[in-house]
Amino acid sequence: MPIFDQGYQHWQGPLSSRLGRWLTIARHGVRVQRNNRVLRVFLLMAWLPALGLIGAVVLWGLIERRSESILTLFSGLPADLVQDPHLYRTAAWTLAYSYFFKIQLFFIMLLVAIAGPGLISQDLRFNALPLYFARPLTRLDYFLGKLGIIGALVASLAVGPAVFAYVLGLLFCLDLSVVKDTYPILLGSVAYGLIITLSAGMLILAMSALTRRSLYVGITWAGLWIISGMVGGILTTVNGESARLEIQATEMNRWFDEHPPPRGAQVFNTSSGRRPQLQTNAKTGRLQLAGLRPEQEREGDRWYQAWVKAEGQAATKAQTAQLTVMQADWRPLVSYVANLERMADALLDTDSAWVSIGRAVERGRRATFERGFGGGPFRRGRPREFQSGNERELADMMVPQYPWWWSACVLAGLLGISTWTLTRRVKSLDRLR
Amino acid sequence: MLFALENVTKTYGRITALRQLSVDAPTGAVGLLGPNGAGKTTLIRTLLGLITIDAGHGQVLGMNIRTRRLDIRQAVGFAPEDECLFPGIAGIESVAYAGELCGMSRKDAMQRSHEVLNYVALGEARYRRVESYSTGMKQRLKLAAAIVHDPRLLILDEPTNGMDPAGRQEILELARDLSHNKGMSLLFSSHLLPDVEAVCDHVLVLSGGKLLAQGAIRDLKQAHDQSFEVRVKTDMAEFARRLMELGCDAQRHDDLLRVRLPRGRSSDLLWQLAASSGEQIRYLRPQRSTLEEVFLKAVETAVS
Repeated sequence: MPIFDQGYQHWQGPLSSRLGRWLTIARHGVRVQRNNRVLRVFLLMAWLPALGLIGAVVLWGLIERRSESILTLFSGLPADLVQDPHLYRTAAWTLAYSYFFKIQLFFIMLLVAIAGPGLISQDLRFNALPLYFARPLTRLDYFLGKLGIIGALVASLAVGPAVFAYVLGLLFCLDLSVVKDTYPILLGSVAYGLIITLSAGMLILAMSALTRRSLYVGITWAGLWIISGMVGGILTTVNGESARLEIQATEMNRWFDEHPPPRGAQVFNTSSGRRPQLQTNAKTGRLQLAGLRPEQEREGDRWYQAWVKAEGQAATKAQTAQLTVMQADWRPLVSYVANLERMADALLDTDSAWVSIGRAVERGRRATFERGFGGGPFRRGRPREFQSGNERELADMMVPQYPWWWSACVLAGLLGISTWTLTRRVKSLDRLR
Repeated sequence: MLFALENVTKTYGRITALRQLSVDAPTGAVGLLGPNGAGKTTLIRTLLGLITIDAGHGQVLGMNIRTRRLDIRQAVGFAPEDECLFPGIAGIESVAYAGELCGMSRKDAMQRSHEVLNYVALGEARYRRVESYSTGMKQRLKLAAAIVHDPRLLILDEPTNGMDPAGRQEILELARDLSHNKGMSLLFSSHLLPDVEAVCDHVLVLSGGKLLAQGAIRDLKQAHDQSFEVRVKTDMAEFARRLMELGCDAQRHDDLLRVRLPRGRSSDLLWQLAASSGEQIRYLRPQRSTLEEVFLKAVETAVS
């Protein structure tokens, strides 16, 4: 029987609106990705950090409800945190979300490397674009559809767990004031999830449009992610350390000039300035300057105590200078991941959370001091003052201090380049070939 | 009217792909002929609304090519010339996806996909990944994807390129069946004249972005009053020599003589010569232009 005798029937069914055609591309792409067993296993694994986040917010809920077993487990926490946990609710949730996103970002980058490279490169390789554009679709539909695929996958790791953990956290707190305290975290998380989705999605689409080989795209993505991170980290560390050492060396060299060590003391140069050679006294077991005669030991001890104090002051000054330098340091911008993380810090207001925790730690230190531990105010019968620390120390250490909008500009620039690349590489059929 | 264009011009830089092209194509099976670079693909893209034309206007299935591009693509099915497919999926998924892109629901698209894959004889291979299909299967898959939403006009761009004779015959039969028995209009672009002749009733000949000839194939292949094809029983060469002595132009063509009679003479001359020379005429019919002749003549006219 000739093949055409099998019959052809006309079809007159309902058609969907054209506005939603991009969804068809996205749905189809997600369906295809779902068939990838490696990706399915990976997606399951990538929910592990989410379990950690859920555990953290649920745990805080139990601390707020003064669960005995939980309080026993966390007896090492600063007293303020345990006594008034609801005052630190926002900070605790913020830090939990912040760490969740830091870990999750690794999985998201990996997910993009697995699922993203073939999105457009395979269409270019198999010449599928004419099949799309010969149908009632625009290029915008195509781009949105492809972005929808990677967006859905990334959002399932970035936004989904964050919202899920938030809801579970609320359920375990059984306190409506939680919503008032933590809704900015939810909004920040969703906004950050969307930023990752849009930025990483557009970037991988642009890379995917550059070649017909998915492997090359994967390698380029890994390069952007890992190498830019390494380079950014190294540059930032080197710059910060150089600034710190330079200040410290200047300070210490100046102090040495103003307070020369006793004659005969051995001195050597280091990157942080001149330092005395030290040795252990065989009789007392204490450190003392090397190269002194026995009659100089008392003078040497006095000088040594002054040097230790001066070095501590120089270190503090150098650290402050390092922070000042890092506040205006552009080098972290080299790292793609660092830029995303800076946005997370800004959207979740991690800085305030660390300041709040810093205060609790400081109050804990003061309480310990006043109780007489750690030296106490009346050691050796002499009244001493509590040396107040810097409440911002934790925040300065844990959160990059350069302006968040620098990172926003870098990400916006990458978005612009991605859009330009896509429009250049995925051409319409209005061309000769 | 299938489509009508008026003074359509399209340029790419210094290259003019379509030059004030005016054409009216009737419904039915229309062939699009032309050498490489004639503007066939540009014409097809213009009809699909994929191109912004520089000048002129036109309609496809009654829809303006400038303002209703997406509507046109909704009503038209297109199988491109090059090898192209949606990667990483089975044939059934590929055709269903094509249907979904045209707005069909997933359920309808899957059901319809089964139907059209059976129709193009890919039923057995429907669950195989498309990358593993042979060239002929890929062509039939493209055809299935083009008709899944039951278009009013089907455009096939060089559908038999690179196919073996059996596969080519199958595609031609499918194209002919769709256009002649299923009420689907067809625009069949090819540089293989026998393919166009086998499928189409109407032809457009393009060259250099201009329309050189158009009309029903039956009309273009008109019979010539003074030219005949003749076969005689014994000595063709001797018969040709005698014809030339009588002022005829006689050329051997395979096992036939193509004879052009002098002005004012009829086929009686051939019978008289056969009777006088004792030859038997076994075959005699007026010569008709082949599509190839029509095409070559049109191109030559354009060049001159």
